[in-house]
Amino acid sequence: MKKRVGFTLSLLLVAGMLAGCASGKNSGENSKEGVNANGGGKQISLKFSIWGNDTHKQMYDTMIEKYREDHPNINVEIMTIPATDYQQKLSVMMASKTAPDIMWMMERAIPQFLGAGQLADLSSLKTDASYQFDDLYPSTLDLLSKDDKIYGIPFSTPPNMIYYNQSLFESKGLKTPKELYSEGKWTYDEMVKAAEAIAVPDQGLYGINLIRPNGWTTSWIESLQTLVWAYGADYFSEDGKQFALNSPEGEQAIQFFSDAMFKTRIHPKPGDQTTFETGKIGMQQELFSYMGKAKAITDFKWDIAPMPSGAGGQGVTLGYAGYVVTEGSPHQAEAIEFVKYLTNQENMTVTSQFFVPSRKSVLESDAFLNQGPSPESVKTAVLEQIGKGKVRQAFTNFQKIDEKMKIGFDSIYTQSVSVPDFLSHLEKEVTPVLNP
Amino acid sequence: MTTYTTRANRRNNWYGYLFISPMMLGFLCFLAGPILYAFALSFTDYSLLHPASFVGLDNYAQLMGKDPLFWKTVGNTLYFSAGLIPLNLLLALSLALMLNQKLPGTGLFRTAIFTPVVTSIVVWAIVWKYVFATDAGLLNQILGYFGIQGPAWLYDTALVMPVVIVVSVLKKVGMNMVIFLAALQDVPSMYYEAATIDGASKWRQFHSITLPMIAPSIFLTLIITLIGSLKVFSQIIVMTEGGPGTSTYVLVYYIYQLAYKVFDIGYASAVAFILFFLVLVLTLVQWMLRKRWVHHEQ
Repeated sequence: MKKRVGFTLSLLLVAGMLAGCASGKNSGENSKEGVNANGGGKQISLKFSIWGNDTHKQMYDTMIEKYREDHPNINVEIMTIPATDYQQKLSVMMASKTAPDIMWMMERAIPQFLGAGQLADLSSLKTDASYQFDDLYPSTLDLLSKDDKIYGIPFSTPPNMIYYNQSLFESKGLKTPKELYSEGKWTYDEMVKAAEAIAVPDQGLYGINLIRPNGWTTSWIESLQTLVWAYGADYFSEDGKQFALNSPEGEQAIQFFSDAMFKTRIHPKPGDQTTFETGKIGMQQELFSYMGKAKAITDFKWDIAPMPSGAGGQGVTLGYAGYVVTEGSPHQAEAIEFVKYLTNQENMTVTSQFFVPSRKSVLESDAFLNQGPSPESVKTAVLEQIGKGKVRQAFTNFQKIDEKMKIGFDSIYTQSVSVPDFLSHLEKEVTPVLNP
Repeated sequence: MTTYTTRANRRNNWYGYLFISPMMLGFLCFLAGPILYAFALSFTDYSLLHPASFVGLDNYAQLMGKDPLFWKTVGNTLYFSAGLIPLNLLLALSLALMLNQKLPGTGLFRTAIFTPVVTSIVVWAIVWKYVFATDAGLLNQILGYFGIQGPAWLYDTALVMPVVIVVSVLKKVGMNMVIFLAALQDVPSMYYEAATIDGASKWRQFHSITLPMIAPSIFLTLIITLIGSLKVFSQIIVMTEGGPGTSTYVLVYYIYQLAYKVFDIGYASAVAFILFFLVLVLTLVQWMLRKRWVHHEQ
C-alpha cells in the first residue's frame, strides 16, 4: 500500500513538472480554438518591441484597442526592452527566430539588421494612396532605404537641445540662451560665461550638464557627439575606417569637457546623478522626449534653446527611431498593416506628444508647436534645427567600437591620462576594430 | 531469501530514482547539457550571426597569450575574492559572536543584518550606486557637512573595487552570520563551564573551544563565499559596467561582454571554462586542506 502511494506520488511529481513546462503552449492553442469557434477569423498575436517607458506603452495600448475595433482578430503585445540592451537582445532573438514582429529600431542598430537581411520590405506603403507617403520628410528616410526600397518608417527624429533654468538666469541678471540665440551670439564661449556665473560647485549647483541622466557610461556617443562636431572634429572618418578624433580640434573639444568638469567645475563630475528637475543645473543637454518630465517642474521657470555654436557650427545631432518589421515573421502582412496604422497622420499626432514626428503635416501643426513651453521656442529649438541636424554614424560592429571608446573615455573621467595621451592611445585601440 | 531482499532493494531503488528524476531531468536539460555544449563551443568561432566553425585550441591560445584584458580580468576577480572573503568571514563571525549573547534586541539586529540577503541584488546595487554618486551622492553629502570633499567613488580606478567589495560584503554577510550563529548555539555549554573552572581566559576559550567546534561551518562558508565571489556579476554591471576603464572587469562580466555584447560566443565559452577550472581547482585544494583545518566533524 505504502509503495503504491510512493509510486503514484513520484509519477505525479514528474508529470507535474512536465505539465508545468508545457502549460504555456497549451493555453495558447486553446485560446486560438476558442476564437475559431466563435467565427471571428484566425486569432493573430503580434509582438511589438519598444525601449520606451510605461507612458509610451500606455499610449500604444490605447492605439491597439482602437485598432482592434476594425481588426478584432489581431492582438498586439508590447514588449519593453531597456535601450542599453536593445540591440544585443534583438540580435539574440533574431538568431533564435524569436524576434518580435514589429520593432522600434535605433539608428546605430539599423545597418546590422538591414545588412543581414532581417528587415522586411515596406515599399508597398509608397504606392498606397491613403497613406500619403510623400508627407514623410525624405531626409528622414535615408537610413532605412536601400536600393530604392524602404525597410522602415521613422517616427522620431529629435534634435538635441538645451533646457535651461530661466529662474537661475534671471536671478543672476544674465541673458538667456534663447535671447543670445536670437541675437546670433549663442556660442560655447557665451555658454561657459553664463555657466561660470551660475555654478556654485561646493553647493552642488552647476552651470551646464551635457550628460543625460544615468548617461555616464554611454556618454561618448549619446552626449558628446554634438560637442565634438561643434568643435569641427569627429570621432571617425566619413567612411568609418579611421579614427579621426586625434586632431587639434578633437583635442580642444575633449580638453573643453575635461576642464569644465575638473578645472572650472561648471559641469558635474563623472558619476554625478543630479537632474535638471532638482533646479541645480543651469543648462541641460536633452532631447524633446524630456518635455514631459520638464512640464512637471513647478519650482522654477524653464525654457528650451538650440545647441550653442562652436568653430564647427552647432553640431546638432538627430536622434532617430523607426518602426521596422521582421523579415520572415509568420504574420508579416499583418505587421506591415499595423505599422501603416501606427504611422498614419492621426496616430503620428498622438505619438508627437513624445516624439518629434517625421510627417510634415504633423510637425508643422499647432498641436505639435503647443507641446513645448511656447510655440516659438519649439519653432527655434526643434523645427529650425531638424534641417541642420546630422544622424550619428552607424556601424555593423558598433558594440565592439562602443566598448573600446567607453574604456578610453573613462581614462578622461578618472583623470588618469592627459588629453593628448588619451587621444593617441584611443587611436591605437580603436583603429583595428574599425577595420575588422 | 537473499534474492528476495535484493529484488525488493532494487524495487525500492527505482522509487528513489523516480523521486529524484524531476531534479535530475532539470539538471541534465538545463545544466549538464548547456555546460557540455559550451565546452564544445569553446573550440569554435561562433558569433550567433554566422554558423560556428571549428578552430581547435585557438581560443585558448589567444586568451593565454594575446589577450591582456583577460589577464587583467583574472587579476581583478582574484582581487575581489581576496578582499571579500576575509572581510565577509571576519565580519560575519564577529556579528555572530555579538548576537549570540542573550541581550535585549538581538532578534531585531539579527533580522536587520539578514534583510539584505533577501533583497534583490539589483535593487541593492542601484541604491548603493546613488549612495556613492559623485558630489550629490548621500555619502559625499554627509562628508560635505564635515567639510570633507568626498572623492568620485565609482570614477576612481583605485577606489572603485574596494567600494564594490564593501557593497557585496554588506549584502551577503547576513547569510554567513546565520550559519555561524547556528554553529555557535550547537557548542555544548559544558565545555565553557569546564574551561571557566580551569581558569581559562575568554580569548583562550574562544581559541580552544569555539573555533575548533565551529570549524566545519567556517570551512563551509569559506567555500560558498569563495565560489560566490568568483561568480560576481550583478553588482558590477549595475554599479560600474566594468569601469572606469577596465578596473572592475571580472570574469563573469567579461564573459557576458564577449557573448552578448560583441557576440564572440566561442571565445566567451573558452573564458567560461577557464573560470570553471579555476573554481574546480580552488575547491579541490580546499577539500585537501580540510583535514588540517577541521578537527571536529560529526
